[in-house]
Amino acid sequence: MSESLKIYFLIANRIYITDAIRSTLGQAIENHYSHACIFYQKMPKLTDYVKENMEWIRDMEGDVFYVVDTIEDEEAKKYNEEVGLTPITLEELAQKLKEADVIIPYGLPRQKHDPPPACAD
Amino acid sequence: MSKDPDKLGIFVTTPQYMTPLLKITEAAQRAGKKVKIFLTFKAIHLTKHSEFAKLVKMVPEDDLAICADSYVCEGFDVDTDIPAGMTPKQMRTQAFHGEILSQCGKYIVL
Amino acid sequence: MKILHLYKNEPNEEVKKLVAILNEGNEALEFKLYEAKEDQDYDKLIQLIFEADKTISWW
Repeated sequence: MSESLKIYFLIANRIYITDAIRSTLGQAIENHYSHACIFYQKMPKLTDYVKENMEWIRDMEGDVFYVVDTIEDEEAKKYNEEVGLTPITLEELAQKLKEADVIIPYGLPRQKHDPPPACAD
Repeated sequence: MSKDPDKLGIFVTTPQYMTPLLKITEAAQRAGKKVKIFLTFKAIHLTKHSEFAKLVKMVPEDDLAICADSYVCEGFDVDTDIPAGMTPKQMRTQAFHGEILSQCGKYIVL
Repeated sequence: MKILHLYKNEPNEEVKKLVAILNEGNEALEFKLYEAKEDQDYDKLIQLIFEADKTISWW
């Protein structure tokens, strides 16, 4: 049996959020302490699938965070908490990352434009 | 199973780093190191890149895989459209990423 | 510990802040992938990856 690692997925780009959560769960199932950390973004529309993934990650002693001080829009922060993301500051996250075994910046950097209606959900 | 200090795991999450992926693999092999590569989510589009077959030839079957679910989610057929030179065995799940983390002494993300 | 920061793009303010905190008490190395062109650049990257205890591949 391999050792359980402390893993942090860092997500900056909106399009990558839900898949990074899936990937975070993938490592929780592999018996690691697996965390997803969402920067800059309002969570996309929450499907039952994503909600179940988040619950499962937490059941496996991981978590799904959003980095509060990287978001200016108060409405987005409120929404993120309503859908069950755990707030964390950049400084608090940095301290957790110091203890991490693996840090996985996932996907593209932060996108520059708000999503057009075609991919806004 | 302990980690191999001479093996580099490469977790590919984005579709635009074909050249760096090839060049990193070549450089690792020049230095006598092994690589183990997993393509997930949008990165599976790299399988349609004209140079992908070159990567498949460079890496042993057990050390290269793509996420089969991502491939299907992006609209491709996992049975009839296995990417250039790959085998059905290389269409895998996120557990392959777990293998990378448990087997490879070094690790990067593209 | 020796940490290699692999930058795929120019780091923004948040990345710089995290890197500064992660580097505290550690030896830091860096490599700008977005400037790599020649085979020798990639040889250098491999050397750094295997020299470092840990690599963080920023977005």
